[in-house]
Amino acid sequence: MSEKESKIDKEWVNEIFYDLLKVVYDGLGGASRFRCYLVGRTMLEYLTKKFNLNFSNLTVPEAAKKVLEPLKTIGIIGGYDVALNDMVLDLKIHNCAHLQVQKRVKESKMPAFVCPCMNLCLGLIEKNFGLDSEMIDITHEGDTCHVKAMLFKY
Amino acid sequence: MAERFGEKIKTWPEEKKKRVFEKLTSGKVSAFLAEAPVNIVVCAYKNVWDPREDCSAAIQNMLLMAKALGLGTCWVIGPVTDVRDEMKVKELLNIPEEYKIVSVVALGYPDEDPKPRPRKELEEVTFYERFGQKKEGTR
Repeated sequence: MSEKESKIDKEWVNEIFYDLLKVVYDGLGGASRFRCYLVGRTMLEYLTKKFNLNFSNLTVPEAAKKVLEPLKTIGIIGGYDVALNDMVLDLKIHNCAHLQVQKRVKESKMPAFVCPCMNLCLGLIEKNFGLDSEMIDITHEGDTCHVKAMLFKY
Repeated sequence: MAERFGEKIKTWPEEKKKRVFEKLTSGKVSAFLAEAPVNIVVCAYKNVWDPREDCSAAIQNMLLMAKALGLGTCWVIGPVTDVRDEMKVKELLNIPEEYKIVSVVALGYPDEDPKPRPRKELEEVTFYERFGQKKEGTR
């Protein structure tokens, strides 16, 4: 199979992703967002190995940037901004490959409840900084998703 | 918090928002479980059609029987709603992967007698023939 033939159609992947989200939301309702924190998080180990990432001696925003950079390299996202304001992790994800999914979710009157990029960051933050987290909000405007999560320690 | 409490949070005073947030992030929301004489962790075998429905019906029966025996109960989901928390509880109790935790029920002799929660009128929550259609003669 040539490289061109082996490329996966983005429309196909996003439609399947959307269909699965709808199944989850129809089944779990508002609890869906609490059940989806691991979506994307499992890629942490893969990315760390593939890109030889080292997160030692980094601040929370620096670590988040470091784990998002490979997503840019492999073309999942076009860019990102990271800020930490009073323990609120604030991500702006530009041109995400799954943006279409968020748009479909909104059209279907579902609240956005999954962001694999944020989940990846939260998994890393829990592992490296021992901080728990809870998603606050996922919105999108144009080609940018704005995702916020609260970090805290029990 | 807006995700948890919806639009009503916008009407809360700042002091209340702060208090609720501190409680939510304190790890003490379901802390009373630690003091209950018995905690029943209700688990469902996942590979059936309706694990949550089955367990919820069983839990309701447990609560009714407990009440009949003069015991008090509290049905909580907080410790296992978040998949990350459920993973920790499953590990702690060595619960196999093919089971999920549906809820926890605290059981003991009650030291208070709380008033019943307010109820909506039946007419308010009942529709006829089509969703949203009230029976003739009702509001």
